[in-house]
Amino acid sequence: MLQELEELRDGALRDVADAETEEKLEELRVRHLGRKSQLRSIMRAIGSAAPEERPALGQAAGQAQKAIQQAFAARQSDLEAVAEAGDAFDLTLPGRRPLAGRLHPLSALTEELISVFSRMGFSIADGPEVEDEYHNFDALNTPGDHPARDLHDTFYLEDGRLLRTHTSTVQIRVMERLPPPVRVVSLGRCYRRDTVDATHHFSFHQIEGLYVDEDVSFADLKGTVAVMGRELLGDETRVRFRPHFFPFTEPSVEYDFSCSICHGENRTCRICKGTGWIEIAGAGMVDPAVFEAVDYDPERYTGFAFGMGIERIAMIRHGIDDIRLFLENDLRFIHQFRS
Amino acid sequence: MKITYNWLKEYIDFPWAWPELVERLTMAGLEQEGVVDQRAQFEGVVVGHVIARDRHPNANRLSVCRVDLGVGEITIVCGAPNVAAGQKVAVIQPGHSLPDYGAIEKVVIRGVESSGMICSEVELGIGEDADGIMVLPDSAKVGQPFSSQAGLDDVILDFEVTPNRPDCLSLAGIAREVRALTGLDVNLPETQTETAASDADAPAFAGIEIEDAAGCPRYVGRVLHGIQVAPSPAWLQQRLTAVGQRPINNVVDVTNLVMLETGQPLHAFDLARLEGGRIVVRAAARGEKVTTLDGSEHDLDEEILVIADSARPVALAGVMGAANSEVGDATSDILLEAAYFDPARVRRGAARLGLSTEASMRFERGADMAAPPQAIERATHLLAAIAGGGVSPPVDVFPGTLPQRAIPLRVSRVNKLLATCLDAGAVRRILELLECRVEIDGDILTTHVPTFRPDLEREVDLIEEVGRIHGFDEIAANTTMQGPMGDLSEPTALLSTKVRHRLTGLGLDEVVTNTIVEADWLELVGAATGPGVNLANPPTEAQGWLRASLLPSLLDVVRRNYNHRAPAVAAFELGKCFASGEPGERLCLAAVLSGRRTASPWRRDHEPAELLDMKGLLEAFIDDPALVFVPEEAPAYRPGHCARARLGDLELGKFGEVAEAVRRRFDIDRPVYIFELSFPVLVQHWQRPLAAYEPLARFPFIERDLAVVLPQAASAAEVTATIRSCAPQLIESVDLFDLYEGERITSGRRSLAFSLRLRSADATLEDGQANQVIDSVLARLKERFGAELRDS
Repeated sequence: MLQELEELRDGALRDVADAETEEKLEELRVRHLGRKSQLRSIMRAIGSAAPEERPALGQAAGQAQKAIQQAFAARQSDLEAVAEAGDAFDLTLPGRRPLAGRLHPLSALTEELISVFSRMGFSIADGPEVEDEYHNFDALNTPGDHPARDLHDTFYLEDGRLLRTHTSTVQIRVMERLPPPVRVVSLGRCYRRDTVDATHHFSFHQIEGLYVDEDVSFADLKGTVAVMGRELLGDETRVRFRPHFFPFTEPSVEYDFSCSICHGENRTCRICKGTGWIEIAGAGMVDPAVFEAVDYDPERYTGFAFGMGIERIAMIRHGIDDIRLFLENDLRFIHQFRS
Repeated sequence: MKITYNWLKEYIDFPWAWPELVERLTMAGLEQEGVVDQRAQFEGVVVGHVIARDRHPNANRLSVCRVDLGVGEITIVCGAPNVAAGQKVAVIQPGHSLPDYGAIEKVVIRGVESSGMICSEVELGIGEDADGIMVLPDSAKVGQPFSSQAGLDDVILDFEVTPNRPDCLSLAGIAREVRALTGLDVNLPETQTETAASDADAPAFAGIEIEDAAGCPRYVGRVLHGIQVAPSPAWLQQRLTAVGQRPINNVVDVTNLVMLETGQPLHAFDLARLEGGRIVVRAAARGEKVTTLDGSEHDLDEEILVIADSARPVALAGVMGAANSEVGDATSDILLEAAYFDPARVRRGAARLGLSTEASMRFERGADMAAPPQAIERATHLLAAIAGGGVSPPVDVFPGTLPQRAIPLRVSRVNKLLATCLDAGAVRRILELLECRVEIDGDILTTHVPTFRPDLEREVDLIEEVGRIHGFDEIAANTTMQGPMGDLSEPTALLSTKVRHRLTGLGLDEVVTNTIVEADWLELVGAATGPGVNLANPPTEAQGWLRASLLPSLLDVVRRNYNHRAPAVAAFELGKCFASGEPGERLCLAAVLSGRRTASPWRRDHEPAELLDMKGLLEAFIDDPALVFVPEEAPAYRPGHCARARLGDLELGKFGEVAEAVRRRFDIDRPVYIFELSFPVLVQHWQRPLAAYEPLARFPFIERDLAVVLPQAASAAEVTATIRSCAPQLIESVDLFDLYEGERITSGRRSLAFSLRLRSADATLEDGQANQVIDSVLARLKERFGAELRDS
């Protein structure tokens, strides 16, 4: 009987190993482990064997059954794996994407700037695009005979008001409304009567920062601009300040960021023209005449202001060579700027 | 301001090559605008000696020249008629190129090999004579670079001079900047005139009268007689040409050169053409006319200051001379003028006449009141040497005195504003380098500023100078700022970020369009937006108005993108719109949807978008169940396809389909859906209270579908509200899932199919209760609308 059990087991294991489909395996399971299987009839026959043989026979039958069951289970999972593999999904088919729009690159940059300056403690201020001469010029120490007031540079409305030529107007509006200390940035659209070409447009965007308090110094201006430079163009970015002239700051400077594209190593760099420096914008310490215009005590308070063109920064960061693209709204352009 | 490197070197012997000079001046506030290195421009051009010239064997008009280049002889085929043996010429060698001509290679011309080219002035880019080759003087050294032999080995430097620094519109001024950076001395050019004045021959000059002393505080005139008007000598012509000025004659060229040297504009009158032989500085009379040297005629008025003789204006003061007294070849006696004119007066006059000249630019920004006599001396010195003649003493009409400014400067204030640690001595040294005279009294430096620095008026102006010369780069940056903590940001600023992200998340692209638009665009949106705002001086004739609505701008975006064959345009803009009365300038938000719902043909909803897509978008954006829509007729919208969006008391704006006639104006052939919202109202909406938590339902729901046939006039909103009203406690939601109109239904009626979800908050709902609700709903719909259950 032991012999018979061994043969039975070996035969079943061979059959299982040869089974190629799950149906075949099921059929074999009935044959080898089912109620009418040979194994079952042997197991039933053990009861009528001699009592001293029963334990050995029972053990052998149990082991044979276990071995066959394990073989079935193993083969079953093999066959399932094979079946699943044959059913593989073509994952290179395109996904069904929900719609996702893109921010305009000027907005994306604006948000980044807001985030940078918010972290430095600046609030966001807003002001009108249609302005009066007082806020755009007089209060900013730009007297009536200054060249910037030429009809040539400024868009005027029929009623004598004008389209602001810079966001510096918001400085005045904020200081008129709030007592010092103030620390704000303002962003928005400005207008100048420039002929439209690849680098000029009569409509452009600016960001302007202002910090007024007791004991604000040029060192604070440098620190603020330096942090902005690193945030916008990378940790390696250095800043240099060149003396310049603006009616509403004294001292006035222009500031340059070191070229993030060629690091000054390419004589023909498109961005810095080989100088290693990218001209960014103007800044300076608020002119005492501006403080007088808004009733701040120029002896007690000092402050700095800085500004820059948002299009210019976006053009540098993305290598955009034509400012007109920003207002054309070709969606092929807008879709290029992943947030 | 253009200068040349060698010219500046004559004024001050600084130890820098040009790149370092440019770098230093840029960092001191004179920014480089351009550099032209002449030596690089003429690389490969050398002086050659024509040894022999023979006729070309195969061409009548060509010659074959043997040319000695010092290191050997070459053969050049030349087409110029004037080439001759014995000439010194400019030869460009193969392998080099000329900016205005191109590259030169060794070529065979009709069988003769030519190893270079003998150049004309045009080919060299230095003149207009194209008739023949340029013949160099005999003194030119064979084999030497052409640039050095022709005096074209300078570097031309162009600096941007800011409007506060009129003193830097001169060689002397830039030299003084170099002095401030180096401490070296400036050598001003010679002003002594050797010619002894011979008063006997001097013509009659009746003198200078200043009627308008406010407009002209100082006027220096000087008569030079018996001069020869002729072309200027080569050195003078070359110097002017190098900095971009066209030589005219020796008199005019000298006045121009001295202006470049000193910053003081000069003018020369033909004395014989001055009626009465006198000068009167006065306001023009209304109705007077003058023809200026550029040939244009101007009508004058009292605002404009003129230089006149006894009868008429002979120059626009500080701007330009008149043709009636111009110096010409026949001129023998001249009156030289150097004056100081009031900056504002010159500016207003020049602006009114639409003229801007080298002279007006300098006077507008503020000339040096001390400079006229020096400039006259320098010009006299040059003219005596170049044009000969006799010299009368200068007449200096100067009733006032030179402006004296003594500005107290606190060293402590310097250090406070600049974050420096300079002592009084260091500050004084800087100011003295700028030619200020300084007296120290403790913390206070009394600073006397020179007359050529009209920009230095206040303490803070001096602080800027200290910072500039000390170097802003020397100041350490501070990144540990203190300051106010409270956030003063306006809600608009913060919510605009939120709005942008919500809308891009809903699949819309953001656009930013022009705010200056065409008048037509305002008409399209009609009277509802109020009177428009137009510009007095628009950028183009067509674009003269500030936009009143975002709708036309977005239609233009749709047009532009359909032109590029975009399958769909789904976009929004958040921007300002304008009206002349109230509300004036306001922030608006609008979105547009046209074409396919999705750009991807792979998606199952790759179908043309419909009005309900736009409505759904708006609903998802506002995300408030209280949002309701009220039918509306509005300009630019298709009648019957427009509604106001309301939220309680708030009028958010409107949405709908754009009228066909309007979109056709933008050549759009597909339906366009749009919404326009008021951003401030949206801000109010978003200041709603935080959502309060509601406990989640604990008992199961029962779902029942209900299809009813109703008259068309019964609106979906009314029907839904009626259903809800039947059992507000038990009906949790009513969702429309089908709408059918067509032949299987009586005309004038339609079928609406709803899915109702019923649930009790207190217990598990029984089927019987659900049936009761449905029966009551049916009864109510029948009673109110004449609804019938639809047979399936």
